[in-house]
Amino acid sequence: MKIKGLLSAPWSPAFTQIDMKDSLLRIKDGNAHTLIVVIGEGNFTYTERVERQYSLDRGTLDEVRNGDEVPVDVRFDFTWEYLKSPSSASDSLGTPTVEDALKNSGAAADWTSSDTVDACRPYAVDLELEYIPNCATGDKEVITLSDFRYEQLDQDLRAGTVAVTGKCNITEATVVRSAQ
Amino acid sequence: MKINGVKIEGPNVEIIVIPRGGDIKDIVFMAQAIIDYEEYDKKYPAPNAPEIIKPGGIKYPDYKDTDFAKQFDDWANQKADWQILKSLEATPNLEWETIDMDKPETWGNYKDELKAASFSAPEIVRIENGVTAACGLDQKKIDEAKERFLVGREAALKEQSSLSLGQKSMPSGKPASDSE
Repeated sequence: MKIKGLLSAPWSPAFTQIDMKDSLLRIKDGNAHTLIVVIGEGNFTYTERVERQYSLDRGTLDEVRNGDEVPVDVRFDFTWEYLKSPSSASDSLGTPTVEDALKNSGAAADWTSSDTVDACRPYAVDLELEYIPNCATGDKEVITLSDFRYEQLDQDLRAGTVAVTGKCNITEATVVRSAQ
Repeated sequence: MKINGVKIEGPNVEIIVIPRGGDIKDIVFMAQAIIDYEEYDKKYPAPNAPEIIKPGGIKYPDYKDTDFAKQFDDWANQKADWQILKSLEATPNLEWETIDMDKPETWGNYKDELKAASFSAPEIVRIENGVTAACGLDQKKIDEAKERFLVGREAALKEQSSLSLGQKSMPSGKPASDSE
């Protein structure tokens, strides 16, 4: 398994760089609600793209400018070991499922959108993937993808599998590495 | 409520005497049993553990959650401080300078105040143990009381059996009966 956004080269290595068993995904709303998804097996990928506009000077490459911004594509597809919501202790609605958290429904009906710029925008959540390497000498890494909106969602509660694709209203993820 | 015709009333009160030498009078604390914790539990309910969902929808509370464990520890420590202060309210003219019973964060100050009043660490422990004993939580005292009761009951049984043996017959030779 790998986190595509972390790889500098487009090729896929034969070995896994990150063991997703050491990762957990936090789905956060715009307030204080969080759903912790402890990942078993699977993958989490995101793609950042930048449009460039190249102009020629009599057939020779000359100027280059940035084009339109492109939202970050996100895809995660994994089995989860368990779901936990720290706020479920005081929340009568209980722990939401991944689907609830992404749809603002069920036990996440009282969640508020993470995108607070315009209340009329569709509901969004922040995704925060935390990877803590099994080896104590490795750095902890937190990847934050803000204002994610799903576009396709496949969920199997019985099997504990989730497959989601969507976009974040940002051009790049925030990656923070720190000592464990 | 009555036991053996004696009306049971008034909470248990422990007298804790801290001896002082010279011209200083001995210091006497009175610790009274707390009859009802409802007042505390209503105002400061115990924290609940966050809920976990496993694949298949099985739900259970996560008592191993580190945040919950810390919250519960804090709550229990706070309750212990409250119990000491509430119990010591039976001491006449006892005034705390930095404690406000409406502000739980100040309850732990009683130790600092006792230290500032030159009580040694073992003396503070004696006061705390006095509260524990008054509240009926001192296992040694419970065991001693049980022992006293059992010894007393044994003596009463022996006395009863010796009486019934001695009264099998009347001096006249007739068998003893209730009517005579």
